[in-house]
Amino acid sequence: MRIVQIVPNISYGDGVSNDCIAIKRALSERGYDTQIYAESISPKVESGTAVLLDKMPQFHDEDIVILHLASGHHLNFDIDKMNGKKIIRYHNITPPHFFAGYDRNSQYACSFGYEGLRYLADKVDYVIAVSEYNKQGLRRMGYTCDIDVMPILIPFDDYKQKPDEKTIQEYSDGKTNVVFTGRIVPNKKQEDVIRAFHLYKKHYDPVARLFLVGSYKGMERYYERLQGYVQKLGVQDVCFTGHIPFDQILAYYTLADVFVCMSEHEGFCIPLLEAMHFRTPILAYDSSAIGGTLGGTGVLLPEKDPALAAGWMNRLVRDEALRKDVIENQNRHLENFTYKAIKGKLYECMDKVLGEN
Amino acid sequence: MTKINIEEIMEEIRQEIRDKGISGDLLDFSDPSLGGFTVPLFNPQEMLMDLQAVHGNYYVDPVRPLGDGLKGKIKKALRKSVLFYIKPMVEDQNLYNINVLDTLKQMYAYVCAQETYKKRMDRMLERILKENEELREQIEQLKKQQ
Repeated sequence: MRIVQIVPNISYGDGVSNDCIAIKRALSERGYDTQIYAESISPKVESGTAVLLDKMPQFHDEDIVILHLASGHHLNFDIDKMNGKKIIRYHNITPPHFFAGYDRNSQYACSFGYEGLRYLADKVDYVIAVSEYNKQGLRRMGYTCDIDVMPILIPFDDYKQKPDEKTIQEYSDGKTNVVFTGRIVPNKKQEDVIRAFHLYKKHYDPVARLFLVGSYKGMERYYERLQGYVQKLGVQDVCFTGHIPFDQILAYYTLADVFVCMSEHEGFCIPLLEAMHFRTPILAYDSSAIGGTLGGTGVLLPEKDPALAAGWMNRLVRDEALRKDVIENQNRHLENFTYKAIKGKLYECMDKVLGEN
Repeated sequence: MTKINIEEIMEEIRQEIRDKGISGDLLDFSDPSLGGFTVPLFNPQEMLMDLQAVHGNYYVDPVRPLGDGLKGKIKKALRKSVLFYIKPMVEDQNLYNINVLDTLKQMYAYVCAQETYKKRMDRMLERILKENEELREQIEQLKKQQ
């Protein structure tokens, strides 16, 4: 019996790939014969992590095939023809309308993703969703199979490596650092972070800085519009880092005084857990899976009011007692996402599937 | 977990916003002044001028005139060494440009024909409405006479 994972691409640093690699590691630790098959493998990924799809063998009925589903791909229409028990690891798909006017390819890929998701509704045996929000979305789509929720498996040990010293030194000057990490994409609504930061800087903290950490590759139109927006608002000290190495990302988390997320669509939102790990108070807009991932911790904004967000930013930065309580609550909640805890959940899911074999 | 009274702090912040007069009414991110693709109102004169501009620029010359001095001679030598690569690409581009130009001309011709047709239809509609009005009046008069 083998447990294989199929994913369109394995690359360095993206959430789906990291989850896929972490699952492989956890399955290997339990002694399962496991492998990842991907259509493309980034050269940055450690050799032997995954095998190209064209080398994928025929599976047997007792094998378990896990398809990671996060976008449109022909694999979504092929998995039902394979032997073995079919499982979807559902990461969610961004609604295509967010990309309208910015990137037609992404818009199409997401539409195609939803098409695949609908196609598979009655063709898979089991789904492991990364959040309750995702599970409910699948139920609404007509999925009747068993669905369990297992958050993304994050190897937090990776975060123990040394953050980039140069970045730390450059910005450790006592000024407030507001941070949001995540790709520059329209659903993450970086413009709303900029709006809130503009009012925060204007009314509370004139020397504060905002770091929007994340790649804008493929989203150049949106990025240019964001830059134009910063200029039109006349807000200073907004820094788009672009794609940066992992140790620099760690440095920005280390520097952050407050983490602000205004995203309108997330299937899970790993950066929230990363901010928790770095003991940064979180201010987030209550949308999609965000409330579920925060689990009653951080500060959840019920509405998109930049003035309210700015006021909260000020409280989370200045009110020491509040800040301490928020961080403590976040830390306690983070214990639910330890590698050990999620690995246990993964084994439970596997036992369930194997018990039904 | 430590109980934090979020609602209470939320209300305090709302009061603070009112006291300080902070307004969240900022420039909208969808504001056209931020650039992006916008479509102006149709103007046949502008379309003709744009078409004339495209007509004047569609041809890209792969061998542009260069000076005769030492610099010019060096430039010519450099150009000669890469022309085998550049020229086919420029020719392909020119072919594409002329196809686009022809398509735009066809579109302009179609738009002009539709404009003429629309004007004729507008005149016809105006006449029909006028006749209709006159006929209504005649019917009203006939009804009164009965």
